[in-house]
Formats: sequence, structure tokens, C-alpha cells
Amino acid sequence: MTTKGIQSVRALHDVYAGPLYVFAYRRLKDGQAAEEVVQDTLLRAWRSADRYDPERGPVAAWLFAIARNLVIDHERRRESRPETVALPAAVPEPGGEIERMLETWQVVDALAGLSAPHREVILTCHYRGHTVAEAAAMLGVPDGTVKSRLYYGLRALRLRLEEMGVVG
Amino acid sequence: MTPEHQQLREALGAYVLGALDPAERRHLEQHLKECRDCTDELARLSPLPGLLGRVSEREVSAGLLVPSDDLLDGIIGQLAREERLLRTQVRRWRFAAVAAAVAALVTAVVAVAPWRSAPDRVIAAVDPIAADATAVTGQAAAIAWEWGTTVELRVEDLPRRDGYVLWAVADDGRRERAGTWGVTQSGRAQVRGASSIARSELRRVEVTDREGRVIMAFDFADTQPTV
Repeated sequence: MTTKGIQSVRALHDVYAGPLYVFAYRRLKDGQAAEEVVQDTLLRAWRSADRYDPERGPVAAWLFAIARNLVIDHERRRESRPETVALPAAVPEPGGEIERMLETWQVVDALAGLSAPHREVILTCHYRGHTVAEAAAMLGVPDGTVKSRLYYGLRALRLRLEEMGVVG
Repeated sequence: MTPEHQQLREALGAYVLGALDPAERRHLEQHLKECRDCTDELARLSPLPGLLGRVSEREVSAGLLVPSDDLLDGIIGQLAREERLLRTQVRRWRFAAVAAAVAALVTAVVAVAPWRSAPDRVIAAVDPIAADATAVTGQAAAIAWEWGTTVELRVEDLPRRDGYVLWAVADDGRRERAGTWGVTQSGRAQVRGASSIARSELRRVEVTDREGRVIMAFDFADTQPTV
């Protein structure tokens, strides 16, 4: 493969692999199957790039429509009903859902980019619903430390999401 | 900022997540009534709980939604294998469309490398004709010889038929059967055919079913060999 070719497929991957993975994982609940879907989606997109028609919708909608067909194919294979996957002729995915998937991925990516102590307090207080005092006792640190980690953790998160254009 | 003010400021994170105890919450709310800076900061943090709610505790703690690092290598490896198989450089122009769309979205400028193919070989992409042929991908190469033209076809996701016929069509409408092949399980075909039509006169290559209904075509009217 040419360097330019690799750059171009890398650009597709960098923007869409994450959101497509979120979509596929949530449907299939299987990391390996989800990765296969993402790889196949980007490979198919690449192979048929000359058939992509910008008039018919943005790249994201096209990719999600391919991924959706591949996910359905996976689900059918589980029920051992083989089918061939066709490239989507139209783009049925509603725009709002794709936007949401892109945003969800950006939240995942932003959280993954936080330091471990920052992520830990956000998990404890937000996702598990503990108070500052409870989190301090569980983590063996003073209340003030929990508060400042929450504050700076959320600020770091906000900064990352701002950079990605999720929040203005 | 006084140390006390700093402490109140840092409590804003716990506040937006609802993790402060009631006494501390009331104290902070009192302060917010008087402090414009802290109110502004609160407004900046307030979209975050909603965004965090897009993912579940399990998805975050177990990293379930993060694909592995070798996903890209897998894609590049697969494409490189296909490329070696093809030994043509047709993809150069093929990714131009996606590259342009991607460029618009990621503001990454992807230049398209110049097409360099052997002068005796021209390539055309598939043009699906039959209603159920929209999934077809692939291309045909036409190679010039003294006696006529060889056509090499490589296609995937063929719609199912009993058999396939490859046709060479000349500028003046002459049609010659250049090859036939049967059904494959995989829906893939790699076929070579030959015709006495000179490549300079070759307008189209068509694939039909046994009854002559066109499934797909490859347009060679405008392809020029580059030297």
C-alpha cells in the first residue's frame, strides 16, 4: 500500500472507528465481533469509495448504514441464517442517532484520556452515586482531595470535549 | 482567590454531580448567589453530567467501548494483501472520493498520488446495472494485444445467477462473447476473457446472465493508457 493510501484509511479510522465500535458493541455485546464489524465497514467503504455519492448524504451516514448491515449479518449468523451483506443503496440511519453515537464516542474517548485518579472519583461519585464523604472513605483520601479531583477531573473532561467540539 | 473561595470553587465539581452533603450544598448555593465567577464556572460544568450519562458505569469501568489498538493495523494489513493480489494501482483514484469527503470532515488533506499503470493496460470500475447488483464491487482491466484485447475481471458480491457471460462491446456496436463462468458460493469472480476487438475500439465490457440481461458494465470509452 502507498503511504497516501495508508494516510487516507488512517484518517477514516481515526474519525469513525470509535463511534462505529460503540454502535457495534452495543448491538452485539461482543468486543471481537464489534471489531470485525468496524474493520469490515472501513474496508468496504475503502473498496467502494468510488461509489460514494456525497449528494446522498454525509460520509458518517454512509458508514453507519454499512455497519448496520454488517451488524444485522452478525446477528443472523448467530441464529445460523447465512445472508450476504449488500452495500446500502440508501441511507436509512436517522441523523440524530449518528450524531449521538459520535458524541458518545467522544465522551468515551475523553474519559479514557483522564488520569486514573480523576476517572476514579468520577466513577465513584457520578456513576456509582456515592457522596464525597463516602468516596473519601472508600478511597482512603481526605474529603478535600475527592472534591478537588472531581473539580479538576471535570474541567479536564470539559476541555477535551471542547477540543472535540462537543461542548462550546 | 482566598483559600476559602478556592475551596468553594473546587466544590463545584461535586455539586454538579450531586455528591455534596446537604449542609455543604446550601453553603455553596448561598455563595453562588453572590459570586459571578463561580456561577459562570458552574454554567461551564453543568452540561457534563448529561454527557457522562451517555455511557454506563460498566462501559466506563471495564473500558467496553474502546476498540483495541491493533484495529487499524488489521485494516491496513488486509488492504495490503488485497493490493498485492491485484497488482494494479487502480485504488489510487478509487479512494479519491472518500479521501475528499474525509478531508472535509477531519480537515486532513489527503493528496491523491498520480496514476502510474503499465501503458498496455487500462482499468475501469464496475457500474452496476441490474437492480440487485448495487453491492457489486470490483473492476476490469483491458490489455492490448496485436490480435485484440484481453479482459481481466475481478468482482465481489455478485448477485446470484445461474451463470455469467462476459462481453466485449466495440465502438461501432459489435459484440463479442469474451468468456463465461458459473456460480460461486463466495459471490466473487476472477475471470479472464479474450476478444478480437482492438482495445482502441473497446467501448464497454458487460457481464450478463445466460439470457443476456445485463448485470453490470465497465466503461472503457474514456480510459486512456498513460505512458
